[in-house]
Amino acid sequence: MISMLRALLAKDFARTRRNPLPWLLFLLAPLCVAGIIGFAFGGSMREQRIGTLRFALVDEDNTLVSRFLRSGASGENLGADRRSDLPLAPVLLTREPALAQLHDNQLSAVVIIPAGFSDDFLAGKQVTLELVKNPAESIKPTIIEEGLGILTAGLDGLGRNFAPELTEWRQALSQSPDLERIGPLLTRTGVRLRELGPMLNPPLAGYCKPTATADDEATGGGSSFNLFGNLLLGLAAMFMLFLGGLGLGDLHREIELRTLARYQTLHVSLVPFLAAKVVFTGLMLLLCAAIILGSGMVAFDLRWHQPLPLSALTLGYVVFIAGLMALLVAWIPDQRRADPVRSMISLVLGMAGGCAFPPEMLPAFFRTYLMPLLPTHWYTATTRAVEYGGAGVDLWLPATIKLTLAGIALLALAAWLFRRRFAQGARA
Amino acid sequence: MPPLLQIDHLAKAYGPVRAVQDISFSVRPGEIYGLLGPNGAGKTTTISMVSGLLVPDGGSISIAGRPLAADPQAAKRLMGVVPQELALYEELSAAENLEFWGRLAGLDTKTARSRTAEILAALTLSDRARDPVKTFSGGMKRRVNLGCALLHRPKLILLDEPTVGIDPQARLNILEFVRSLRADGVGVLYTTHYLEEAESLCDRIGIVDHGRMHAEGTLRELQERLGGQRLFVLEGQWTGAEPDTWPGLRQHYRVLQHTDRQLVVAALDERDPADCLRELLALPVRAENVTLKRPSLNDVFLHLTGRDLRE
Repeated sequence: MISMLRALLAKDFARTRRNPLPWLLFLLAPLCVAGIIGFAFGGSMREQRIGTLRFALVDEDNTLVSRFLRSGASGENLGADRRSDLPLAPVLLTREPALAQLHDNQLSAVVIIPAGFSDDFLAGKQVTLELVKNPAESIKPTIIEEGLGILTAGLDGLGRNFAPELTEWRQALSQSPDLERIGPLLTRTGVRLRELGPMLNPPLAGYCKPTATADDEATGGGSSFNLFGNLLLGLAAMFMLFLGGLGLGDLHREIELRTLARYQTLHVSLVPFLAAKVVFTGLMLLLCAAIILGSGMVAFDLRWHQPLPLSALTLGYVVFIAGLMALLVAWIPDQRRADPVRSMISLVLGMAGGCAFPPEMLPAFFRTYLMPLLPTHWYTATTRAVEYGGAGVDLWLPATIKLTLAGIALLALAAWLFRRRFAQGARA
Repeated sequence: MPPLLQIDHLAKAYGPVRAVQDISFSVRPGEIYGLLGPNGAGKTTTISMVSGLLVPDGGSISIAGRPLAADPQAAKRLMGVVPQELALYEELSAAENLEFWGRLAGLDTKTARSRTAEILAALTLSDRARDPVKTFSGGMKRRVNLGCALLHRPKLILLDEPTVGIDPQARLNILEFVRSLRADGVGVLYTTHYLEEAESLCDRIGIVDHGRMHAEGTLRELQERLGGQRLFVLEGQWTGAEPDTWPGLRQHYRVLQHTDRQLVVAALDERDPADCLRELLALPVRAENVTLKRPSLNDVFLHLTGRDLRE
């Protein structure tokens, strides 16, 4: 029995070695797709840094207040306080050239300070800034929009808290500057700002993102599970379904080639033949998973922090795929019908299981009722949780057991279907 | 010694179609038994039942004196099956294919390798042993297909139309190889629809059509069923002719075939051929040509089934 299994496995590996193209295509696909989607959404590899935010500032108000805002945004007059790591690159333009540059994809957004902005601000009214986003970009315009939201909220807060001073400022600035009036106003405003200082700097609430230190770099620590890692795990899960179909779908070819019939002229039991095909597919899937995830380390500079849980989950997932694909072959004897069914099932399982995009984007019905039933979701959600948050054994072990048991149940069902089909004397 | 293969009243139906009906025959050691019949006669169905691919609806099959159903695995060890369609891995070489099937038949690696070399030499394929089968001609693939069934040295070999679709030279090679198997005491069940193969190769022949065995025996025995050694072929314009109305014809001759251009008759008694010729030329119709010949298997088939095997 063992000798026969070895012969059957050696035969399948030799055939694959002679014709590796289908396997290579499905191996490369998740890496290519992860790269394309990752770069499209601006994901970088190790530093996770968003590039410079280049935007135009159009000042149609052109008052002291708007000039103050302009200089603040461009970092003028900040001297030593100016932060060199701010990824802002504003350019001062008028409306038409700014919109033209936006159209040419040279800018991520155009921020317009409308006429009357200063009057509204000094009158204590709610202020508005106009934003035109570049539709060809997604992340950077959104960041600018969020920044403007914070700015206008801050200005509104300032307007509400400094209403008396702002009224006086408007009167002082609307006439010829009266230094006797401006002096005490400046002093009073400065005192109030100083009182607010402890609350504003440091802020009462804050967010601090840990970054890799030089020591972390040296020891290989630090988080490097980025957008690519998230994508690659999902896409690997989906394309492993296709690879599994390729491996066990070879049973259809054996039937077509009449080699299975020839085997049946030598042996009564089909078990060794089917078992060898399942083992071959399982070994190929493990090899492919190692290549895909290992290539992610080279191509996207990923680091898998939890190799043991990841390996255990992948092993369970491989058993599930082998069972599913064996069942499809047993259920649909005709290869021409089986191929599209297998592809559809792989795609639906992959998409609905959250392999190709974040599961949070799916409708609530899917997330609540459907996804918890999908083994693809068990695998992708758990591996992502393990790699992002270092989830404990209480999370990944049950998922691994569930995947393995599902695979074993499907294999048993496939074996029963095969036995029934051949016992009826159907053409092998 | 019991026959290697004994089939009694075998039957198989696919729904309403009776593929095999009440077929019985046996194959003895050192004998090549030919199952001759047109496509769809039931030859492949019979071989599939013997090799265990199909379950018979009725009848019995014994291999070396033991019922197949009693111990199918033991029976399979005694058999080597060469399917009609090529059952090979085209990506693998000829040697790899043979070794693989040898190992599946239970041989260890070393034995499988040495027997592969022997068989490839016997099939004159040694020089292409390491080439992928997909680069082979049709005739070479057929030889590899044959060789794959012989690694475990079976006592009974089932050959299902092993020469279909190949050139005459390759066919001769295969026939010569099959003939050499007889010398080792191997029993061969050989199905074909080529008359020449059955005539030149087989010790005994069973003629099947529409799932039924119409006759069996040696070539001579089958020929004698036509009542002697002589057939007369009359050529002429026989459109609309009614031989039954010709005086004396039915008393002395049996009409085997009647077409627009040809009338084939067999003499019913042992008279002098010259007398027969005189009688035929004296018929009240104009024969352009009359030929005397020995009956062929096709004539026997024609006589038994009413149709030409070559049709």
